[in-house]
Amino acid sequence: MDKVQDFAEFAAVQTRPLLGFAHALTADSHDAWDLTQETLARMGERWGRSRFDEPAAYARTVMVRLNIDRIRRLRRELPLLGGPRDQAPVELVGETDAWLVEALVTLSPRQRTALALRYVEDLDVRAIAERMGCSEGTVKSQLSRGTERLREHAREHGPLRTGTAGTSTGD
Amino acid sequence: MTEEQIKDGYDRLNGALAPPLDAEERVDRRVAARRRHRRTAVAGGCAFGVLAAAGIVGSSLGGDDRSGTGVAADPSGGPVSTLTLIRADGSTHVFDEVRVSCVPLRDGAAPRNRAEELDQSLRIRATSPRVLADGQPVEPIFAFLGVLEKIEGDRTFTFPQGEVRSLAELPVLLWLGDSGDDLRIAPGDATGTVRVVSASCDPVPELHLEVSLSLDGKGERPPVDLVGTLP
Repeated sequence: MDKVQDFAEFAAVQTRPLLGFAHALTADSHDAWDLTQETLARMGERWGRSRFDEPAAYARTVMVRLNIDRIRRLRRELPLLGGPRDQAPVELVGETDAWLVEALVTLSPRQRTALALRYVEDLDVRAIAERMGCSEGTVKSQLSRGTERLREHAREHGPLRTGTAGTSTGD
Repeated sequence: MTEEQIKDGYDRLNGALAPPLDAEERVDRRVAARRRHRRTAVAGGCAFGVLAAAGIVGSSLGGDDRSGTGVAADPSGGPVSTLTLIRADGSTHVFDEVRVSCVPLRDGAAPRNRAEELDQSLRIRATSPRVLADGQPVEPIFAFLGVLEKIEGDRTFTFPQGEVRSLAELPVLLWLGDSGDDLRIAPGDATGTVRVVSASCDPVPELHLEVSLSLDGKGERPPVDLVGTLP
């Protein structure tokens, strides 16, 4: 199998789960797609030149690092983000919890990252620290503050659920 | 609000989006754009001018290994670097693409200057891509240079160090430049530690660093931190 086809198959399998993870990292459908596309582009660029023992896990590490630095980097690298935003090309096919999306927007990128790794990837503190490239103490702090913020927001606004399967897009 | 309720919320968020039907084409276009960008990026070192007087940058950090007895450069791969530049305003830049290579031994006559003095030892270096536009760096720059025989075996170097009379005394040198900024250098501007967990040029260049440094500002330049690991 040539490397182009190999990567195409990897991307076909991983795009949906990466997009879901990116949605948890960003709480924004537009940013989630940008992050997914950029992560896959980085993987595709290196595919065949680098050795990936676990490409799916490596892609998530790339995504986490990109997300932490994403605002500054992507605004420079992706012209779309510098001007008026086009409609996100993704489709909303399931329900989202409005209270959670609203709460996540108020968190720092690092707090969102720690929470996504915990609740989406089911990683423990040690593994989260490895993915984020920081200490376990920092992760515990980010998880504690982030979780508390989610609970505060849920108490204030209630766990209201919104969104309907089949609608176009939007968070 | 229980852990389970939060987890359920994340499960719904995780499954709420479907990628565009033309996702593959979009990714392919982005890969092609990045490759074009990389080809046009200039591998230069104008921001390294501050070190030009020492004659080090050109011979040690700039460009590829010289021909001859050089050890093959490592095709960058494996785990990604987490080395992160943290500015005083809290913004960050992650050096996630760092190339590790070995600098060949210089054979021949006795050293005539500091650069040649350094050339006597096998060195391992790690550099981030140097991307220039109109001669100015548009990406922060990271570079590390270590004398292999002085850094092997899990060594930790603490800064600041005492007075350095010769570059040959320095087992490690580290450069950090922000976009449009001049360089900060360790030792010299640094407080903190650089741990060389492992370093080897045989059979392929491999370098594992743990960095926790604060690099002082000069004049109105604010201090910055460099933390993280390589790879």
